[in-house]
Amino acid sequence: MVLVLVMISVAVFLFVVEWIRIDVVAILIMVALPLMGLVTPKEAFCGLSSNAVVSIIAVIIIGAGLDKTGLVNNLVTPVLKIAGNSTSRIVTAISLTVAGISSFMQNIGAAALFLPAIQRVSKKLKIPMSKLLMPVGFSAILGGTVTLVGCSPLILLNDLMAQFNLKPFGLFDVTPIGAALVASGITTFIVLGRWILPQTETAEVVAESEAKDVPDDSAADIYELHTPSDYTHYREPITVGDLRERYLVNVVAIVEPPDYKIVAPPASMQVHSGVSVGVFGSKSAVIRLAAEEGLELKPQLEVFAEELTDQESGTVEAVVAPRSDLVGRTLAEAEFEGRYQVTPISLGRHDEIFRSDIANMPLRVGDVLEVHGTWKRLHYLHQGGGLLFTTPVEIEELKKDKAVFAGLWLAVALIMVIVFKINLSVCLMTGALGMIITRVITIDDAYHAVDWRTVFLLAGLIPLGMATEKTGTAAWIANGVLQAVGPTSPIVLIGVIALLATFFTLVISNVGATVLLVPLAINMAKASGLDPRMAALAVGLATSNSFILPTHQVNALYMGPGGYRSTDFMKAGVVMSVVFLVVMVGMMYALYGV
Amino acid sequence: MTVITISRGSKSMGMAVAEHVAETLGYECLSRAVLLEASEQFDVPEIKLAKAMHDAPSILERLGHRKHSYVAWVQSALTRHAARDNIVYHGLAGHVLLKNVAHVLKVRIVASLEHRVAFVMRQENMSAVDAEHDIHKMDKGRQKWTKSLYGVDPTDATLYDLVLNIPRFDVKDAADLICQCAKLPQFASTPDSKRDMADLVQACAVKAALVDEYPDVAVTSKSGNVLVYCAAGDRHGRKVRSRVESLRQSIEGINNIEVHVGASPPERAV
Amino acid sequence: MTSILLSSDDPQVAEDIAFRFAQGEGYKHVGLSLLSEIAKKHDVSEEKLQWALDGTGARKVSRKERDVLLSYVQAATLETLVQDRVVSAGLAAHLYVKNVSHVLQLRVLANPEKRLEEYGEQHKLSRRKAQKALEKLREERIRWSTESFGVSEYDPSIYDIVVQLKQIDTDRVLRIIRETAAFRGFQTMTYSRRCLQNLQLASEVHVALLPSYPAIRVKADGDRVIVHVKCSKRQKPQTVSGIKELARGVETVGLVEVHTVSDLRDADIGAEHTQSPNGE
Repeated sequence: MVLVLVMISVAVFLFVVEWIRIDVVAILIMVALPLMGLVTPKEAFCGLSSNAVVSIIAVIIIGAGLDKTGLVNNLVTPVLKIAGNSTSRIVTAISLTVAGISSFMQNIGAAALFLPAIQRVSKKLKIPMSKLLMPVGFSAILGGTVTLVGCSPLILLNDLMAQFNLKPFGLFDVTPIGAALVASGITTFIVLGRWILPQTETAEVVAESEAKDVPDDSAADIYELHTPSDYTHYREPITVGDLRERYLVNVVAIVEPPDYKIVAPPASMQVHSGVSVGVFGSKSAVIRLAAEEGLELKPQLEVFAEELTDQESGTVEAVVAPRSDLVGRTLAEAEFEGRYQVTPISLGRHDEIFRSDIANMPLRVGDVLEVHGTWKRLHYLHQGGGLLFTTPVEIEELKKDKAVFAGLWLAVALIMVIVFKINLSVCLMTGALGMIITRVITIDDAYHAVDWRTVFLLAGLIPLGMATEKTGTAAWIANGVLQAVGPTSPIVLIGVIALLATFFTLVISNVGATVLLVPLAINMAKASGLDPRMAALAVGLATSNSFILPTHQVNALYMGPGGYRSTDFMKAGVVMSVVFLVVMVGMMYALYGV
Repeated sequence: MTVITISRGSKSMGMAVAEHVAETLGYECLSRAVLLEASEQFDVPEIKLAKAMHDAPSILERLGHRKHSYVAWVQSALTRHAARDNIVYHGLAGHVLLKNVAHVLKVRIVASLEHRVAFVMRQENMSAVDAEHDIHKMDKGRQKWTKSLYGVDPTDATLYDLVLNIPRFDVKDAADLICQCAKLPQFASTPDSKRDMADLVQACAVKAALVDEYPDVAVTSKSGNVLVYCAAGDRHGRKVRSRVESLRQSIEGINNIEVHVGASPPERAV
Repeated sequence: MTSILLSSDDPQVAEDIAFRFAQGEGYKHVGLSLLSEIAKKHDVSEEKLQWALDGTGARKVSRKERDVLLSYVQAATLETLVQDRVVSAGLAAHLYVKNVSHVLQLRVLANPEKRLEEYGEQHKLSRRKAQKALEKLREERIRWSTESFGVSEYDPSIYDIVVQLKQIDTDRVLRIIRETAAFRGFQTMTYSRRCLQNLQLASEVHVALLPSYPAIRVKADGDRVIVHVKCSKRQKPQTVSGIKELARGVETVGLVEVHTVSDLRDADIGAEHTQSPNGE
């Protein structure tokens, strides 16, 4: 038991400090447990073949298939038509849609899918992103509680309960509670949004900071300049990078003598005499550049009239995705400009916009990159760059013809679960296989889509849960907690369990919290006469109560584009967490008479 | 139009050479003036700065992070003078304080150990052993100081354009050689190099304004675009950001100022 | 007339400047071509002499053999230097010609960026690897020069002038040499010539003695030679007579004084002696 306690303490500590990646911690546990004799080797690796892990792989593949066909994107337009122009109706409509999708997809997948649409709505209807993103993000998280495949903790639940020989939950057993949580979450934002969201303050701050950066209040645009015939005489060579550094103006096209046009020239390219240069920047900065460098500012595009028109090229905003290779690296290290032949213009982080030396800034999840390039190059970036585009790329390669098959295989999986009551993992994997066979998604794309970090996290922590139970550690801790809490009614105990799960999910991952707390909760329930299934369910639901800190992937993703600060999440998150706990406990009381 | 920095090893008679060069070229000879200005601007007693910068590097060690402040203030004062061109600066670390500007001629005056020992023996009435011991101690201290503040060894010849061994040359010959090099077109200020100097002045001014509260920041400036690099940590970054915003008004010529948290500063950063 | 000793962190740079100066000013150029004569005279391979002078990379000659080979080079170089109007590069003369006032010692540092690029291209290395390789070369040269001659080649105070080829170009360097050589302080005096001759005689005696007596210091003053040798009291009589015999075999040697010491660091280190390296 002592060894298990040590293992748990070490795992929790490593999850909190993040010195080692959490999936590596899980693998460490997977290896350490059999070495310490706490589980058998077979038990140590049974997580990899568990229903939970197989289900999550299948859910991810199905989600990727839906994404590839644009099936989800097709929902956006009708939803927005119904919602009209009212902010609260738009928030409700999008939140409900995202919650519905999130009940069958990974939360982060659903959240990422809607980001471009939300950006468009924000721009079109002039609604600040900060008013839209947080409600939608929270709804994506809440949507994961609607079905048993909506989030990793619920997927794990049946596997963790199996060792206690408890009856597993069905796919839709949690739906009433989940639906109530989604409804209450959306209602909270509709009613209290004015007080808990950053409001137009964020918009004002953004506008103000942009005004500071653009003193003449001119938005950035494309301009064409011409260098004089003696530009390079009696001076050190001037490069594209030099102009960017000095004037915060980006050279997006240049002529290499005699007449070779280059779009997205590298920073090291020299600017020669007597050539045309296409730049992207604010008017005041371009005017300053022209004046100080002695360049002629043309009234309109001439040499690059074709290359820099909206049909051929443009600027997009893209968000650094959670699993992107760019996270933790700089654009220079990733050879971003050379690889994709696009020009990064600015980097947005929280409520700041950076324009200088952005190639050497380590990137984080949620950073917003403004990038200019030809549509062809931007499409290539979209495909392989690890970025979520919030502006649509003109050339989109969606397999729209496969949408029917994607929908069909999702339906097949659901029917197998509901009607034929086949094991969940088998049904989901059937759906995934069907998508692969009917070429909705290739097998390589399927492998690429799977988040192996989550897979190994699940697989690694399952044996820890087993060891906790096998050695009696769970029972021992449970008794300790019960003694501390004292004699209490079952509903209060559910509340205590939910609070513990809420706390742990904020400091360690939701999966880690679930694996550690389910055996504990079941033991507590058994000792105090509460239905152990209810205790487990409380853990499985409450580990989705991750709103106070932007640690959840969805919150981290939306933080940048929404211009949120951690304090914004704390404010709204505290309210949402309280609502969550009240509704969850209330529904469990109402439905199951706990 | 050149800026000449003359760095000297201890007891190597570099000051006489510096003064001769300044007289020959009609340049301003700086050493104390920079300290005076720094002391006035930043309200620090000149004697403290002088002792810290020239005579007793060990004092800087005891000051802890304040040594960075003193150096930043002197650097800011020095660059402001240097921006006027036609100066001869003789003092510690001029070659490092005025880095990356093309029209700065960096000279070091050295002397052989035997010569320096003989000089100290005469001046201080010491034995050869004591004189050598003193010189080694002073050299070590200077090396340590420069290395701890700038990560460079002042005896590394690659930091300079020219190193002259006194007394192989008399003061006049040494000064003539330096003057000839100073007149080379490569050391004449150009619009580009003047711009680099202006950038350095601005970066030093920003650094001097921040260094007391945030000793670890690094600053670059390019045509009024100032970048402040600070260590990772969002809270720390926010504090620096709010302090930096106030500098837009107080320091001239800033077009844009950004704080980059967690990014590595380039070599030219101050 | 002044003699000029050139050295550089890039051997090719020193060689190039030495050649151009010699051609332009009518000086005698003494460089690596001297090694073939030395090799013939002492019946050693020219390649070994080059290794001994290079000092970088894997050790290709033993330390004892290196000292002997360097003593050959030293003696031959000093023999040419006494002739006046000589410019020498590549023979490490800047490390063993000390305190001779009419010898101008100049070190030229190559343009670091250019050197880095060229080195990287030549050896097909990335910029970072080329930088590391050059740094390693520098450390090896410092170790070699300190072991062989007791001074670091990278110490600027052992030279009269150090110039970096960043903004000062080669033509300017040539001009600096020309003008400095004309300074009064660099003109040949009777005394300075004598100092050089003493060095030369000491080096010749050193060559004669080194194979048999590796731990020695030799100093010369006119035709008088003073040898400090490390040996025990028991070996003293044989050692002294052996040294005297060998030393007198060198032309122009008159009186030979032999001092035996237990530690060579106790010996008086004058300007005109030739020393064996550290470690005694």
